[in-house]
Amino acid sequence: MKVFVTVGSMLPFDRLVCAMDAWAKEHSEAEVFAQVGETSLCPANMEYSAMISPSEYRDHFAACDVVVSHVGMGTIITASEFCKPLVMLPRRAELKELTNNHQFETAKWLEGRPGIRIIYSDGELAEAISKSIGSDGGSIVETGTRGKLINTLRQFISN
Amino acid sequence: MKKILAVASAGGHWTEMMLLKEIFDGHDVAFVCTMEMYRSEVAPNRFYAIPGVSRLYKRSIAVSVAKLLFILVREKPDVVITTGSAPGLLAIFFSKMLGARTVWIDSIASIEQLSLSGRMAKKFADLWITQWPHLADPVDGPTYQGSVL
Repeated sequence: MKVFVTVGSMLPFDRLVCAMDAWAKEHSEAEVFAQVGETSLCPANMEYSAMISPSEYRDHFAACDVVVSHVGMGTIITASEFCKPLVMLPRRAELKELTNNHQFETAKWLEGRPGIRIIYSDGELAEAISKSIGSDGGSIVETGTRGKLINTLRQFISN
Repeated sequence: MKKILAVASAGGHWTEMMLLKEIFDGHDVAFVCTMEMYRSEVAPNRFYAIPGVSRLYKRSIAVSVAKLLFILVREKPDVVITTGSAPGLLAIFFSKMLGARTVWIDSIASIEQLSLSGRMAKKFADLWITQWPHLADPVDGPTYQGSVL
């Protein structure tokens, strides 16, 4: 089983990184790779890198069985594309994990969608991961309005 | 054919811009991002990396502004399009002064209200877009024209 952890580029998200390192210790059968951002932590039980390139990012998405991440829009869009199940923990502004609480808003919007498990504390991590294993990712979000946006932008550019 | 400058911070902002890539077909586009490692995603198009700007990295604003001005003078874009974040706001602010037409596309991650940069972009965006119908306002708000998803 392969788990890909990603916390984005903006700020560290040590709460999730620590929790996943502890999870990896308990689940030595799992292969865990974590993109951890600029952090002073040195996870002992999983492979990690501060940042990875977009192509490495896509490679990890393609290879993994489940993605564990912050509630980042890039992660949501990429998980939809690769049909991978997602476990997401929103960053909290009061813990200085983000400058505002927009990840909470996004999390609320995503709740209940197929292929995605939103958790609000790291204590829920193990259960969410075990439920995600083997489940379908599915296309999480699709509004069918991209064509309209593209037409508007193309028209604006040409005028 | 128009000269376009597409500005997006690393992460979700960039991913959203990539979903709109086809709008650049037939035009001459250069990209600006906050991370050098995204260069290969848009090769062989021209690409510039500038430091990220936010309330958390105040010191890098001067460097970002200097680099952006250099890029704008060199590229002389007709149109500047950004999906955010703060560096995109700086880009449309300066490019508007230099005579370019500007587009702000607020991130789809801003669901309950426009992002702070998105609200400030009102003054500098010729086309001011939210990706959520409930945040659009025909009187004094941004327009909704669909979303990247």
